[in-house]
Amino acid sequence: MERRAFVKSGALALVTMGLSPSFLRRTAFGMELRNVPKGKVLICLFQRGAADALNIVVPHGERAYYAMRPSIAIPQPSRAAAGGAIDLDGFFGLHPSLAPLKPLYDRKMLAPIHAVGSPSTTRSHFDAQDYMETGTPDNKGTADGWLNRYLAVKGTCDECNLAKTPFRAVSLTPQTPRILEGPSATVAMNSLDEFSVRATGSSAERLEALYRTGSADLVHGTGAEMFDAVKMLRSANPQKYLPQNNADYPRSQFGQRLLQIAQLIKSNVGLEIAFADVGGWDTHVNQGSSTGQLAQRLDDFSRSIAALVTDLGDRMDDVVILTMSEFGRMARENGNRGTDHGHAGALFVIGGHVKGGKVHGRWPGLEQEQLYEGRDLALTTDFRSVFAEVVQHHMGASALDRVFPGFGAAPRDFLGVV
Amino acid sequence: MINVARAFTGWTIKPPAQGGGFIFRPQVHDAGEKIVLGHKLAAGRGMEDAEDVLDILARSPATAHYISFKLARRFVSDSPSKALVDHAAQVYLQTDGDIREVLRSIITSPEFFSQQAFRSKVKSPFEVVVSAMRALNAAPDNTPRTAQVIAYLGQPIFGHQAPNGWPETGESWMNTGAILNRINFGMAAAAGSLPGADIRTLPALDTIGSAPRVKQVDAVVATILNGMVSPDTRAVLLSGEHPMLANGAGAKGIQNMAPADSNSDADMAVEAMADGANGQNPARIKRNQKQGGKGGALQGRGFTNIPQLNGLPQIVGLALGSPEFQRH
Repeated sequence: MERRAFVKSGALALVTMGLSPSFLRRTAFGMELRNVPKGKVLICLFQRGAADALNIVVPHGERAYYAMRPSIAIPQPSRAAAGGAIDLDGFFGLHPSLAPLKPLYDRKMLAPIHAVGSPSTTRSHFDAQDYMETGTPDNKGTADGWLNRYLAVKGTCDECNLAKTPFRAVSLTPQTPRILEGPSATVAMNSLDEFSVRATGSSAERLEALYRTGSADLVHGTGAEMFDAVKMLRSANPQKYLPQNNADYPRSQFGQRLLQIAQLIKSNVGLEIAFADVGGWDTHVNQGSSTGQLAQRLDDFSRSIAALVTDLGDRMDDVVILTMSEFGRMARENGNRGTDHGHAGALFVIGGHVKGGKVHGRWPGLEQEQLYEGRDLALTTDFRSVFAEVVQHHMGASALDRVFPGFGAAPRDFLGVV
Repeated sequence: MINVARAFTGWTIKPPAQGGGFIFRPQVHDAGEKIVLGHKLAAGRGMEDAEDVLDILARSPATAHYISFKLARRFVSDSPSKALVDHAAQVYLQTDGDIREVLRSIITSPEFFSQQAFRSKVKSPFEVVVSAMRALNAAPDNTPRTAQVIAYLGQPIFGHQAPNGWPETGESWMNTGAILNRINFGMAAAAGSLPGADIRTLPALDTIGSAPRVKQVDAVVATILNGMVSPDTRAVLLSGEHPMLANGAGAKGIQNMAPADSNSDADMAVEAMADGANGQNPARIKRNQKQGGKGGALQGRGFTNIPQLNGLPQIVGLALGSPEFQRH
């Protein structure tokens, strides 16, 4: 075992190396499940509505930050009683509601990236989400999402027999999100137990018979695959995997969806890409500071992610969690103690092999002349650079020019996050 | 591209308060000379620049081919033959773009009537729901519920993000999740969860509630599947007479696939919609949040708590969930 990994996961690793309950479960069910070895996993989490990066990864060392945000700034770390930021490096700090993520930073599993985002000048949520999901800023015509293109580029993994799993890419959303749209097969489900045929007894048998018989065309074929997939999920029974290591998922929809992603990972159904999204970030009015609206969103967000990481334990060595939001918010607070649409933002990369424990990205500063269009945090890292690095270094895909066409992703420009 | 944009300078709308109608503003028109697809637009003109551009584009052979291909794909099959498209494009050019004549050439072609073209087109989710409503003689629904069902099946109305329109090919609509939702939709509709539809009052079915199964199957096939099904499908509908069901192969591992407990789905679906729309349409988010998880007849948008169906409702559910019903 690598020393770093050992230090990181500490005592938990020892437990799992022995005959932990999870190990026994895996072995017990290894007999009846397909032989799908553990592969790399990427979990993408979209904060829809444009999260306020400056109050999430707080530049408490910036005089201008406090000048521009008189009522909503997060106090300096020294003012802990007043809800001060959690210091990271003497200049940046985390919003106090992100406390559950601080241990991950300390264990170098969490890498915040600042001043990152889309080069597009749009301030429309609609367009910016579209651009971040298609991976093609300022091109509205892209039909597919970058995660779907990744699936096509990576191809199928011969050695690991992942070709046939219907659960290679799963979105815990009611509909297939733009980021996963495209020709490669993906599954969107509201919840694990919704992925089932809503029929009992002879209706279920007959429905299956309708698709198992007759011509071998697109509809029949897809139907037959679906029944296989439903049975595979039923047999894998992800819901039997209760949270481990005392992971405590919030009861929120987001928390429960991350729990289900963990269950899919643990049930070895070949999950490679997972997606979930969470709203509530469009804080134009009464955003709050250390407490309030944004703080509540961050509380759910961070506790959910921390629970996921805790739950997955040493499995995090194969997992990267990538958070994203369509753009940041204005540097100055507005007249409603909120923030309006801005430009560059911040995101988190979390994983067992992430080069965490430092804030990545070049900080452009917040003085008037340093702001984008005189009002927003300027952009110093194109989001595609981070995504491309994750796709290449973590997931092992080449052909980045096909995943991010027109970007010209050059590994030498990578931040070195994974 | 730049010259086309220049030709359209000055084309704008009146202020919304004045009706928002079209207006040409010559003072902001670029009146210089332009060349579009080899055609010269002389300097010193006005609104007619862009009108000429529209004419040039409409009469272009590329347009003739593009429109013909789209019509052939819509009305014949996902991959219409080159000969069919070329012929239609020829008609387009000969008739100066008379769409009626182009369409006539397509729907009177041998390909249109060919065996391969029969039921070769997969319905979009919108078409699945609308055709089910029509088959079940459903009353029009003026609540958002039906639209939510269509969105749940993957086609949020007016929600297509790329400007190229909803896909026209079956591959785009067929995947494991989609077909699962369609089948569950069929069962839910048969169980009376589709707004405005009640199979008990359907004229074609209301007198055969206790008729022999074979009569019920005939009536359902006639009402819902235009009277045409494969022998396999018919055998399955006729309960137990299909060999696969008779020898029990179909029963293996599939019984009671529905989970015992799925109480939270409805709330989650409605919440998810609010989340998904976040930042895009504040009015909609507010409305959804206000709904506070109150699902419609279809339990938000997921299909939960469908009772076990037997007899006629089961045949209707199977027909709506059949491969045949997924096609035109």
